[in-house]
Amino acid sequence: MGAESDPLSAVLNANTEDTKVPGVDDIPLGGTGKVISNSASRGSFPECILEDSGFEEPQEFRTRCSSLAGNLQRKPGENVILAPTRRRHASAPNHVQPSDTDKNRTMLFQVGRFEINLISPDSKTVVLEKNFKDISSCCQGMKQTDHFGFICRDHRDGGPSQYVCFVFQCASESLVDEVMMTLKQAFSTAAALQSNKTPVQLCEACPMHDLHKLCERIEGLYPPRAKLAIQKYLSQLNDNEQAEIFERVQRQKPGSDQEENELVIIQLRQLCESKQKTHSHLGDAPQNAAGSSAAGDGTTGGSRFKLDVLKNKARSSLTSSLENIFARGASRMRGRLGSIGSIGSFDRQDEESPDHSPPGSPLPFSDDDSEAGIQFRRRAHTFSHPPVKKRISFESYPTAQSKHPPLRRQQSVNPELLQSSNGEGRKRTLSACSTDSLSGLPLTPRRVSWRQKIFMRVASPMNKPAVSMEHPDHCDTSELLPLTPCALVSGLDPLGRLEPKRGDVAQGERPKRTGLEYRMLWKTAIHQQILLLRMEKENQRLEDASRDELHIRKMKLDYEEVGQCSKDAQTLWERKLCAPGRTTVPQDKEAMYRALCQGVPKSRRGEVWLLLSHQHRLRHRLPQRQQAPDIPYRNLLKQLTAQQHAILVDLGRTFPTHQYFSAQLGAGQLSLYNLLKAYSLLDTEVGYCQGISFVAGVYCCT
Amino acid sequence: MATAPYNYSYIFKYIIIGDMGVGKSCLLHQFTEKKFMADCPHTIGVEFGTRIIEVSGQKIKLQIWDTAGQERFRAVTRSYYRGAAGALMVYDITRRSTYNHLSSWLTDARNLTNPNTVIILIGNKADLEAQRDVTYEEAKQFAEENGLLFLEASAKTGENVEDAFLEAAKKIYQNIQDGSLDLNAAESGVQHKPSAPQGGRLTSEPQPQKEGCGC
Repeated sequence: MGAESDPLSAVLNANTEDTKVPGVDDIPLGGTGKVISNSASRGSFPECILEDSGFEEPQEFRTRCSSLAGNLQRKPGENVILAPTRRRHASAPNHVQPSDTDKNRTMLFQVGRFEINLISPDSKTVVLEKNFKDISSCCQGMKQTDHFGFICRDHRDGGPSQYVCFVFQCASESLVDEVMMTLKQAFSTAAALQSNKTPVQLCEACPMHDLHKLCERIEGLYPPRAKLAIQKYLSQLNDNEQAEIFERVQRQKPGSDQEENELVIIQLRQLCESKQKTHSHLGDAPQNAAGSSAAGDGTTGGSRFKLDVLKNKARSSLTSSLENIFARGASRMRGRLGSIGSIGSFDRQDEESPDHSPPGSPLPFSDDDSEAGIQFRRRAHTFSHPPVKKRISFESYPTAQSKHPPLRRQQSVNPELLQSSNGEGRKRTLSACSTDSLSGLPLTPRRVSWRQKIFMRVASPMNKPAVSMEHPDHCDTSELLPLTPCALVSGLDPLGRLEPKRGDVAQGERPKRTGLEYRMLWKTAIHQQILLLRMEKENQRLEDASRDELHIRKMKLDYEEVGQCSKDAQTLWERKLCAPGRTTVPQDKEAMYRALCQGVPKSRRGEVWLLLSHQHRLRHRLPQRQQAPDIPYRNLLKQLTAQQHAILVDLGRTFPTHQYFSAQLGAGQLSLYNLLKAYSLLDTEVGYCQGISFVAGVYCCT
Repeated sequence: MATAPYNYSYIFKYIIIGDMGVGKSCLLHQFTEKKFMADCPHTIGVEFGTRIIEVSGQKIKLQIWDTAGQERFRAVTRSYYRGAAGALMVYDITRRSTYNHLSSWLTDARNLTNPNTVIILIGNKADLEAQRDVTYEEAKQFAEENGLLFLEASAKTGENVEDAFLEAAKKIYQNIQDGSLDLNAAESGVQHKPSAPQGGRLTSEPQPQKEGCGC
């Protein structure tokens, strides 16, 4: 979506330095990974700096230098993103080296309307997503001007907020300038937008609001699943509304699930709009009723305004979700890769945090907020960290730090883990209406009991069971793991197991169990239960993943074939593709031609191309120096190309109507990008030229 | 919107239930389109169909919800039972297991609909006489024991398909006539439309529905 990448999707080829910045002087780091705003950086980039009213402790300033090195050694894992620890030059410990390409990766840095995304084209994942709201400051490197960095709040559930600094290296200084400009612009735009929005309070019961939530829920879902979700929603309507919607949709004879979903949503929207007209908001029902009965329009102006805003919101979310239904495959893929539960929820927290303040202004913690929390962001309380608390935790942090390694944090952003452990994460696109979203977050009680501690320990992805086992076909397994320990504790069978023992105790036949024993019993019981749940979840995830893969594959192959290829041809190719020595021994040219004339089965095209190119290479040996250098694709991906701007511009224009490529920076576009980049590096003479992307696009579709 | 064909005086809500693969969707398709759908995809959630029939000179519009038989959709499909005036409970005469599950379907139907809901048992695939696995007699007996209407039908040939829907409609209409079905009761599954059509309600006349918030 064009609007979303607004104000500018600055794509930079940031050689991302790992974060946590060992030696960067200009970005002040607290020894604990916490960062305080620095007056120097403030001076140089006043507009970019987002104040954080949470703390102002100048005395922390000086601690960093001394603690840095040791700190690094203590927990190298802390280096967040792409982060193997950076090797530092022995002679100049405080000097940032242009890092070796092995350690750093090329990333796309996208500045969205309310957030920054860091996308890794290699793995097609969104590695990092940060809300502007959480960014406390950002600035350019002073000595190393090709670096820039930002400091942002990092939520951990239950625990104190932490501040983390991310530092990036760009290909050139001008890029940094551009990024800084873009960020500045983005911040101010976001602030303006946000401040327009703040006065609006939402009414949970608004029909349009409901619809909005539905749209969010189905966004990016695979059509049959979306259909189910919609049907679930429809079943809450009364019979007449239900019948009417079904009837209208059926009359239009939808051809596919997707089409049907769209039609249903359109109908639903009409219904909700008409309902909205007569809807009186929960909060202001009395005045509203009075106003409308007495004076009609005059007094209800305020709520009218809200209503309009709401409507627009629902409408825009609607369109975006419709578009996302189209783009679903790609976005789903990205969501799958890019959002693991924890990232998703961290970001959610960001959204839910009670300060609906523009990112550029101090966070207001007025009474108003708590009310807003109750009224329309019910869950806000769970995740908000009132400033007082924050400060306390901040002060106490240095000591707690060693015991509290921010493991979760690291796991949540490490790209490898991203891919492996994402689970039923939030399906997310870069576009879309995520900023206002209100949907499902499990409640996490803040007070940590010992029971909960057990729970938290077990629930870390480290303990994932390798075993998987069959489980019955659940209709709705996405919420398999009840996240509140209370639910677990009350619902599980261990209780039952404990019961008779209690009886024994009551009869006095056995010595009374000590609290410790009970605790142990509970512990094992909870452990087992959690393991079970995790296994089920894991299973579901595997299932989903394979289904997704299939889906993407199907999407890729979704094009018209000119001619059908016969069974014979298929078996012929099958045989050719399995022939031993097919990459080293030239095959009969004539036979190959004949086979080609019979057609190539769609699904084998990729392999056939590969085979043909091998054969071509065997036959036409070029002089050594003309031969393209033999660099593995993976290494090519790590390099930078001069052509990248041109490539990026053309991504959106290559087969824009094809599902696979339609999502902005979706799986399709990113693989296309990778391919084009690799080619431009291999064939420096051609580099990138317009039109080549269509050829590459066809290759991507195999 | 063409109003003329929507001249009917009643609306009945139907549901079709039964194990997967017994031919629920085919029955519906045969009934609404008068065609046999050979390669019917499995239903996701619920599908919907309507047709206007005539019973005792009264035009009745049937709104039919065809549910998915697969267990995993049960959560969704169950929520569509509410307020059905008629339920078609379908099994496959060539597969005994589908017959054996009838009792659980019946329990579901009874629990989730109202007591006046007319349930008709349909043994589908009657054209496959050679592969018959459930006799007419035992099914008939089962139906009688549970107070169900019963028919054997074939969605393929169209045999008895009309009758199945009509029989149920007649029974419902009869219930209305003798007063055992209260039209005004909530979720009776029947709406009386004394006057002409009411199309376009969704868009044109916003109904003063206050219950919109309840959901």
